[in-house]
Amino acid sequence: MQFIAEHYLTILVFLPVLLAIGLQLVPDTDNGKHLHTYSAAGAVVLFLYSILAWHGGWKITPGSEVVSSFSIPSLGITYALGSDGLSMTLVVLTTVLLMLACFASMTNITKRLRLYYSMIFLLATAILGVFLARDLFLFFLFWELELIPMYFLIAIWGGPRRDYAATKFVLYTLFGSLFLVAAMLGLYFNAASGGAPTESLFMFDTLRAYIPNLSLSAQVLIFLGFFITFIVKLPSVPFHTWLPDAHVEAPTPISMLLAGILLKMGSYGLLVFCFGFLPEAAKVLAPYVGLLAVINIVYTAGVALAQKDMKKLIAYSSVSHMGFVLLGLAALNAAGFNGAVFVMFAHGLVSAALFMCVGTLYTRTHSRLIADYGGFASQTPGIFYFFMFMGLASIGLPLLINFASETLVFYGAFISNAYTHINLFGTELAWSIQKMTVVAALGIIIGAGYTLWLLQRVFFGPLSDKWNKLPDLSPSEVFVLTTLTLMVMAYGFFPSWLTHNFESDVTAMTRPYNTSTLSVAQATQHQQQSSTPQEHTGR
Amino acid sequence: MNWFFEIQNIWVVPFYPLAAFIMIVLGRTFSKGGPDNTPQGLFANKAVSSFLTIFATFLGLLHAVGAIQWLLAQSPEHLHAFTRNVEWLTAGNLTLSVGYTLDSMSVMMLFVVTFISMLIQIYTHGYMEHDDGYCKFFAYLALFNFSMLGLVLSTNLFQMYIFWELVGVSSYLLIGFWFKRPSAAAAAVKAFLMNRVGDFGFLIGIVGLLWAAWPFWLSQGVPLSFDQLGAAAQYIISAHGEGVLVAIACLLFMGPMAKSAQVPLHTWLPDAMEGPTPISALIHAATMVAAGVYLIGRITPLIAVPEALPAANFIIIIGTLTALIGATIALTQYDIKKALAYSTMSQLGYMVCAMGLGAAVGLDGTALAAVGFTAGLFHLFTHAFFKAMLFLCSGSVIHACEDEQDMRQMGGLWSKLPITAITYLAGTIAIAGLPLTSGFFSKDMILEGALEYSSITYWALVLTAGMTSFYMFRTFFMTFVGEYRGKAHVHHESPWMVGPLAVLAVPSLGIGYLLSGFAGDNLPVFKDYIQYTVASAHHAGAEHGAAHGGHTLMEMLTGNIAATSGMFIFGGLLLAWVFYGTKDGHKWPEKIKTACQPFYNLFANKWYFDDLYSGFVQYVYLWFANVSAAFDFNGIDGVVNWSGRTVMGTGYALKQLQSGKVQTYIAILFFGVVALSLAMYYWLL
Repeated sequence: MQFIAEHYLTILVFLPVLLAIGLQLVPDTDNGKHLHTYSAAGAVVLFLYSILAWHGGWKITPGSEVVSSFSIPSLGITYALGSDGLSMTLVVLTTVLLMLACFASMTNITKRLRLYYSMIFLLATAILGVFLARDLFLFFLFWELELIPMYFLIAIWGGPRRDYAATKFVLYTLFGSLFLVAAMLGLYFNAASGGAPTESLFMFDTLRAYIPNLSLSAQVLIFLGFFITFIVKLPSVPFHTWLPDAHVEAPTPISMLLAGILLKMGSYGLLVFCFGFLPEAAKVLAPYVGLLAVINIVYTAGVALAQKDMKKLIAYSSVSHMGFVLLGLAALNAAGFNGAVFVMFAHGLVSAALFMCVGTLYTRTHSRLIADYGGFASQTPGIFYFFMFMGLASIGLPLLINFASETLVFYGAFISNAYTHINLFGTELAWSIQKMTVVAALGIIIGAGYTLWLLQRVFFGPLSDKWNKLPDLSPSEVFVLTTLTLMVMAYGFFPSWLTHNFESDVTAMTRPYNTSTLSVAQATQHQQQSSTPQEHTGR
Repeated sequence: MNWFFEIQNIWVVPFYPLAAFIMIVLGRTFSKGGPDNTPQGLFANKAVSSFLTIFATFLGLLHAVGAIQWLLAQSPEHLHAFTRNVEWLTAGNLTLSVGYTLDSMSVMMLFVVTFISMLIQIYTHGYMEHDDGYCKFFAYLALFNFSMLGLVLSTNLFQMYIFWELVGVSSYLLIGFWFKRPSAAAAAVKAFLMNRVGDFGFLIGIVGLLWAAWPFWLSQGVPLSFDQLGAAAQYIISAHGEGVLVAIACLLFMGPMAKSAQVPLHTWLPDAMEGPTPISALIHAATMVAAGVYLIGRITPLIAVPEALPAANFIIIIGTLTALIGATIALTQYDIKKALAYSTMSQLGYMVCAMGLGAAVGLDGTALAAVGFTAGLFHLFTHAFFKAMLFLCSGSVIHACEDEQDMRQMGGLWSKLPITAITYLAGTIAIAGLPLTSGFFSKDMILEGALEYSSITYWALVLTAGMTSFYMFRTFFMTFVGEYRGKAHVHHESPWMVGPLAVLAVPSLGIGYLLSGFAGDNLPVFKDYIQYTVASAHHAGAEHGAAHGGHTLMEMLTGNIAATSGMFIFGGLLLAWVFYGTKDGHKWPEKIKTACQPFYNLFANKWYFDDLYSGFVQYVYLWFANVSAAFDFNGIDGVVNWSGRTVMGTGYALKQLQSGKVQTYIAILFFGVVALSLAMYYWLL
């Protein structure tokens, strides 16, 4: 027990690798029934372990902790894992979705199962490593490791254009990683000027300590390096076109993981590195982040509306939702940051469920084209109810999870005083974050438009003769969708069940931004003195 | 009697229908296994579904009656509000709360919603008896009740927004209930999207209010709470000036504009008649569409300040326009439900206009039309009864005529559907506002407010009253009087359906008189309990109240307003009788139609709003989508693929160099040296 308690994070990260090794011993008989069962059971074990690691009495202190150390001091590289509320929230999201993806694989994947599940487990290790690493170099290793399994998962089990999609995915991410390397080199060569110790140079605690000592221009450049890396992964306009292709070609469980977890690596990186470590640069660049958010939300919602392929439509809606993460971050306050994290979690569940729903239709009809459908509500009522539910959740129906998250983002952005002007091509424009948020809120109209139109075209109207006697949901599909539904409802009804896990940690990240906000005491004073308008607006 | 326990636990009311909803849904889900996989077992049973829903509503009604007792036990001069909040979501210094509040307004709404819901649910049993989706329908009804009751009990704007959206979704599900009909599916989506447009403004208004008074809200317990709106308005005026306050009020009003079908966001309501008729009665006539009026009542403290007069004017103008436009379109409709829908729209315009009148405060701080607030909510109250009943009657007619909705295929149904005909007549005289009916009292009060405010509004509303009387009696004569013109075999009335009609007929006719203050000293007076007095103008309001209190019923009946509007109303009735009730009156409408062709076209084409919007969707919305998608595919992805191809092409070209043939290498070397020498010769030497 002592060993587990000391190394519980290392075990968490590498448990999937152990499971993959164990998988090699499982016989491949009965159409891979044993492989399916083993993997699903393994994923359940991983999920239970992650819950235990979170709540199980093992010490978790906020901030970072070096659980195990085998470092390379001469290069400043440390093996450091650590956890806080933010990381653990995403870790649990990962293990839940991994478990559900394994269940979804039972009906969706039929060939080369041993390799398939090995890749899935390898992917899990990479993603868990990304969320738990407390050293930038280690983070980078896991970040790159994730590419390998994902490439094969798309390139082997994908659709007709899988080679194109997989290559595009890898090249795009590698393009982004270039900037990550550049940012790391920038940190490495500037460390001395910031007075950093040469040992454990890339540890998060060290970074946090010496980055503020760097010059503002260096901080801005490093911010940009991180930023480009992470918005490729997020993805954000203009680096988003890999996502629709990857989603369309990937098999259903991989689409679930892609939308549910992989995109969260990008948003996690943005929050922790760009906005956590580089607050001064973030203050300078917040207007541009906000602008990018608005473009993402409105533009990609428009693109989604014009799609003829269901999976592409949902992929573009993912990009649009990720715009809310950017908007929350641009708000630079507690509500915005918490909202961004909440959106990550909410979108992880809802988009995974939507891809699952599309997958269930695809396995029955082998078509993703919306035009091939119509009247499916009476044909497959089970799919209809789940699809409708998740569609409504996705457009922010209150008391479901997306609503709480988007509320925090909108409210946070509106009460924010992050910026009042933006400098575009040398012109100073009075586009405050409030004005940008108003434009972003148009997304709730367009979003409802494409989602409801999709539901209408797929499920309503008379049924065409082409589809007769399609089977409704199978038990494993029901299990996956029901689990997601329950989570979407529970956290939607009681959002504080989710937020209390990360609220204090994420709010602590906003401390560097808090200097300019009016305190409560000042506010009451203002009220009593009934002061002039300039004093309030002149932030 | 001490009502504290009952009042403290009023939060449970929305949860009864929610529990019913969950039980029906789970029951259906876990009871598969019959032939064709149809749900079997206890909860999939029709009787259980309807019983659960109706019983849940009945429990709510009991609570509502208790709440009324609690309210009436207080003296009207010192009304208490009971409010409790719990924190729902916290992030940093932003705390959003939900809770429940009980005051005269919410008690009134609580009663209206539960009472009408219950009757309509009983009626639904008769109407949907042979429909495949019977259980599902009751589940949706329960979901709607949960949302609506939650909305009524909301303590702050954030919570209001939650339930505001939820009633919208219930409405979406129920309009699209017969989703196999493409028109129903399209109407459902249209209703949702149009409401989203309003909600967009509503949301911006809410966050704008939060932003503009943020330091103020930080010093308060519950941000956005209704009971602090007056103070927030003062804060905003001092911090940002009146322009911001007016803008916020108008943005908030966008919510009611969509939900209560005000021009120009009204076109979803007539289309919503694609839903089953009980839904049209419950959601699209009596309760949900009135939520907008209720919301204006809740945010009145924000608007009822002299600085926000432009916002009040805006509300009055929109309300008046809606009343007029709705009535003119209703004149030309042949579909009985569509005619009633436009009538609803017109009446909602009346209410919204009245709420605006109630919030209009002149620059000197005196109320311009103090009676408006009470009048708007009183009209909401009476309208809920008679409009729900009218819709249920139309449902009974449609049910009897085998789903025929065109009034040209009806006529003479008086003898075949006697109870329906009598109750429809009762509803018609009530909505037309014939003296002493419910509609008379509430309409009179609105007109009184309008007269105080401006004569243009007054005459527009009087004209609307005349038109209302005309088109309502037109529907009555066309449906129930004369010869039967249809082909369908007319069925008998179902007892499940006429029972609720008979019950609703009583309040439709009498509740206005009973609560008007003329019916005796023992009865409560509506306007004593539900009123809004402008804080800074106590003396004016008090004076006004005293003057108003001096009326007797006889004075009111023979007063200026009643006489004027009465002339229009009886004129409308008479015209309708001549045109549609007499044997050869039919030639007159045709003659008028040809004489006023441009007007007729305008009205019959619904003032071209639908054409405008479909043009907008076609040429702007979808254009934007297509252009974005084309840019994404050709522009952004084009660059990506181009760079990929360039790299591949370069690689391919360079690959040719690495051929392994010595001759090629020597040739390249030779030409390279020559080129370099020439270059050196020209540029360096």
